[in-house]
Amino acid sequence: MLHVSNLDVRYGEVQAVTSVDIEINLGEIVSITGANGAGKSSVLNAISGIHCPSGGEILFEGENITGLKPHAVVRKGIVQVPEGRQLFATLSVRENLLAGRHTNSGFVLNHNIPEQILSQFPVLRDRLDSLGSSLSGGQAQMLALARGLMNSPKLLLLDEPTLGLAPIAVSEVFKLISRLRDQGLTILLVEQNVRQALAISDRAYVLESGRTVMEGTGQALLNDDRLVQAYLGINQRQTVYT
Amino acid sequence: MLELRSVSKVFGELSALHQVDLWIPPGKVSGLIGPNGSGKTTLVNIITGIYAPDTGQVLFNGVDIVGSTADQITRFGVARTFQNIRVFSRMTVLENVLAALISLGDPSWRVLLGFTKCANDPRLNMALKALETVDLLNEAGVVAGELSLPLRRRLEIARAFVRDPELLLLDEPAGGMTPTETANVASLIRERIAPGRTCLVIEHKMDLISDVCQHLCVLNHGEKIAEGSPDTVLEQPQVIEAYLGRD
Repeated sequence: MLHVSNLDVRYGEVQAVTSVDIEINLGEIVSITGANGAGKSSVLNAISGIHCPSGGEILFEGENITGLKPHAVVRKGIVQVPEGRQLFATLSVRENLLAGRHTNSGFVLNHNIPEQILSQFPVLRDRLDSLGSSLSGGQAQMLALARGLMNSPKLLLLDEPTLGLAPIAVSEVFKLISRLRDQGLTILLVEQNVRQALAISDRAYVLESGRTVMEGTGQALLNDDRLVQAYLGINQRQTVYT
Repeated sequence: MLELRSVSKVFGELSALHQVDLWIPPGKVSGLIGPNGSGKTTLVNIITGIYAPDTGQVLFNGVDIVGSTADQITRFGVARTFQNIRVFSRMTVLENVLAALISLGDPSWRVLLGFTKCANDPRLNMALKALETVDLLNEAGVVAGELSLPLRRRLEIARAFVRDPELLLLDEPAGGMTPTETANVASLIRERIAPGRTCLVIEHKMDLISDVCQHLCVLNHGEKIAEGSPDTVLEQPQVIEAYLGRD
């Protein structure tokens, strides 16, 4: 479905991503993990058109989308849910959701929120007229995810969807991501909760200093000593092996 | 050391804190956990004078500090870091730490403009020592905005730590970090920041809480639902129900 080859991303003098290849098949959850600053978000931003890559090729459903503007990438069916949620604090939940309905003309004629979205996010149904800023962290993340689904994407890019969430809310987000995959959505996930991310991922890539250093199925990586030592910490290692 | 008595705070129709009693034992690391929106950051904002509580007392070393301004509370010996990192991204690492020392002694703005050139100013040594404590000495001349997230968090800790506060409040010091990066922050707090100091840590990462805290308090919907040693608190059914989940 998505085929990224030889991707380079630069910020001025800094080479953030070097020769990264990523393959995502229809209906998969694929994770990108690695330390902070490894280049994970840069890869997502290159795919979604937020940052134009300095080299390489991005093919989506066989079509070259390298360097397309973000709105054009959205029209192809790729939606990114950004790190830190980036909600419109002074708009209502309903208005935030409608902002995610991107049309070619720019006009939103239908102000109804699809039942399919509301049934997926019952917490938002009760808060449609509340301000974005009044939501708790967990609710705000659900709104960011729901907004990302308003345009019926084929591929969803999730950047740190559990950032700053309480453990119980983290579990809810991971359950939701699995459910979305079961419903046929394809997902590329960047997460700092490495263990939980790998547990729900079909496959994963590990980045280090902008390069791919490991790849494999989520389960294989969870059991890989190098990954456990580098990213899961000692406590997690015990958890993994007991 | 720090005691909150029946502290309440309402924002519009939302009761953010409701008659919270809290005792932070001196010389130990206490943890404050709770679901998103349970009132943790509001509580830190009340302790540091950003908000005044509607009712209740905040006793720091026996003195009620309600009504004191944030800068006065800093002078009493309370410092904090922020959940959303608030370093000055266009200033260097060293300048960020020096900024916390401006009001120490000579309050003039000339200090900020000139004192980094003055090798004899004790504040320069204080800043360098704080950077050494958090292992950022080699980055002293780097512009803060270019640091990775874990290093920016370290810089925030150095800036709060530089005045040797009696009470240090750390708001999600491992936010956005991988498990290994979280373990590094935990050892920094345990080995270098906490000794000889009272700390209150807000964090969602239970690895860090279990690693560094000797005392733990849980908020839910603005009310305290549990308090005690981490081992006992984390097993209480109401904490599992409201915060940890059953998985």
